[in-house]
Amino acid sequence: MLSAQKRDTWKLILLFFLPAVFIWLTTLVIPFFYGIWISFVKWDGIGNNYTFVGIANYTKIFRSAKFWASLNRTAVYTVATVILSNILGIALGLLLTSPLKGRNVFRTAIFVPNVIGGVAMGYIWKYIFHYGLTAVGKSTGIPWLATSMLSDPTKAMAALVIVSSWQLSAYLMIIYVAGFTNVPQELVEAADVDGANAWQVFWNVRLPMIRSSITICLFLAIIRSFMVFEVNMALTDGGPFNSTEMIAYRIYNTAFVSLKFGDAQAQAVVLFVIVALISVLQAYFTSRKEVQM
Amino acid sequence: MFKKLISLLIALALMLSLAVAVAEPVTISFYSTQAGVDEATVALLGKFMEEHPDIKVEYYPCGDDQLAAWLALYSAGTAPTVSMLDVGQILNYSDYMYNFNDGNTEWMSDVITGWNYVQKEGSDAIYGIPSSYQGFSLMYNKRLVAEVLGADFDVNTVNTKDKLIEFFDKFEAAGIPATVVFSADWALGAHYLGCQLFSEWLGDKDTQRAVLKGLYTGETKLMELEHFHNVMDMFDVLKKYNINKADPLADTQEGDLEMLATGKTATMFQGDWNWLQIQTFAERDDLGFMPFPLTNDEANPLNGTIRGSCPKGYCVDIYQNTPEQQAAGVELAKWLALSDAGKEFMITQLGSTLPFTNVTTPNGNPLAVSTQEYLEADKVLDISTYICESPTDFWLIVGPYMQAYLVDQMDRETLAAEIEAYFQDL
Repeated sequence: MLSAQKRDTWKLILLFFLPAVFIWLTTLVIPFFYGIWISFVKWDGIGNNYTFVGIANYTKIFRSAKFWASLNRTAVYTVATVILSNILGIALGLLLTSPLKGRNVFRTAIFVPNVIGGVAMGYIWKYIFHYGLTAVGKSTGIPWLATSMLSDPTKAMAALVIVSSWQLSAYLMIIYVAGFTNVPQELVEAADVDGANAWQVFWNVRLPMIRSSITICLFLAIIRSFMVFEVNMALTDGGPFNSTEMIAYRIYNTAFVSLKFGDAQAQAVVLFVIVALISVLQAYFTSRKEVQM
Repeated sequence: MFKKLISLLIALALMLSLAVAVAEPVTISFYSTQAGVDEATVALLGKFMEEHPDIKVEYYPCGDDQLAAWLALYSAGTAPTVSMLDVGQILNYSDYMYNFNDGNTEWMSDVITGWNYVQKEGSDAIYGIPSSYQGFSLMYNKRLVAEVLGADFDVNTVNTKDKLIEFFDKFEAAGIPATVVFSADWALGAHYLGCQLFSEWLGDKDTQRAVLKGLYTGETKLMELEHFHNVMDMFDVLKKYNINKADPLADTQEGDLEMLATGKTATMFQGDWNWLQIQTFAERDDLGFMPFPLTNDEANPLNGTIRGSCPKGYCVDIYQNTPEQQAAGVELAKWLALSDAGKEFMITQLGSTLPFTNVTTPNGNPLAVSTQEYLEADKVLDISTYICESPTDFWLIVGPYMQAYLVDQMDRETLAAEIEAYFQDL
């Protein structure tokens, strides 16, 4: 028999624990396993008429050149966005932790893209690429600016990376600002005394000290890039001619335009496995190099 | 005595609760895929409830994600009783929809055209009541046509492919780009190719179905189909005269419509629903529809037509709604489509063309007026076979191929092969 005190402790634990578990189960665990079930059936999205098709939805994926093309371009986009957004995030973090007049204003201003929704931002940039930059190109006679970046498959992909990195770097900046703020000042001063120049202080002192921030930022950037949807839909709509259709957008279209819910769910499961694997490996390898204080 | 009193009280309570239950109105819901008119829709439903005090209607507005939001309501077990959906979607989910061919079909006498669009091949069940009609063709700027070709010029005389080219040339000679091609995948895939390819140009519904089915079985070879070449030849004409031909994919719907409405270009292939956007421009000229000919056969009346169909309809759920709710839903669907208040809403709020008789409310949408005129003159080619029976993702897959064709990244033979491969893969 539990003592009265232990019973009270357990009651308290359950009081705090159960609501969270209930929410976790109903919003994450159950939909997750339900989603896996859907990937093995043919379903119209409404009724209870599930036709079990075994692994047919998965074999379709492995035969679908378009799925792999979409996954491949998502990987390319992810690599480019993760690198660019983190370099920008670190640069902004460094800049905004240095003694700079009005840096709080800059921090807020730079973070604003994260407050704007992805769809609104995508449409704004679409107008910039279609009409703003082309007007500059035409008036200045710069030929590569005179046509929209969104009309060309390679340039459209670059535009997607630029816009995503612009938004994501501002988010990562906040984490890097926190990281740089926590670098002990005495280490920086010691390096200065030893005659290290600014680059050496950054490369050998500050950067190693923010490795935990880098781990987090890489993790977030990988996940967000692999799952990119809103900007993809609003900025390029997967075009021109499907050349920027990322995997999350493809899954959405398979479900809600093609009405092939089983196929879409199988694609989503494959994407989940890939992203989970990459994220876990990334977190494992980058965290090994973190400096423990 | 006490027992009697208790019995009396219980009986009284039961009677009271029964009376309350009888007086309780039936609660139903309405989901609309017409975005941007939520307040007016709520007011319209208020009017319905005033006229039908025994029915209470809850309104579910749609977001950007029309079908996904609708399906989410089903997943939550709160399926809308009445939904205004694309007719293709009504047919996709017809197993869950009320059959309006229930013996009370007097409403059909008010419908000029369209109720048969929400039917399946070989079945007499009717799964929806049409809510509006839409015309597609070349929209033209009336001021520009009057300036370049004279106030008396009749656009209906442009009834062959060569005459259309001549028409375009006159604008080009006047220094005005003749047309703009809206390059969105859905516009090129669905509105241009899909609606043209499977229209009455091919013949009656059975002939259209045969071509469509032939694509599934591989019997239809597009490169051997004269109609496919006619449609694509005209697309080549539009490509040639496109104001955006230097960078055809660098456009937006709003930008293209503004060019047409403000006289920067003379024509644009699209539909009458675009008025909702055009009317928001501070400056705009009067617009109308002109025929979109496909061949040089002047004697062929089809060359003097525009295309049209009922895009949306009202349907009633029978899967998650009770028989009482279904009955109330049928009442609401008929009222929305056919009552004066419902018609007035569609005309004043959405500028829709209506496929009904006894429409007295003047329409402020000149394109809808134009559609109505062609409809009354029997000069509209029906495109409902495509709208109702083509695969739901036709535009999604074929639209990007059309974009590639527009920018000369794909030739006609490859386009035909890709479309055929898509159907074979379904």
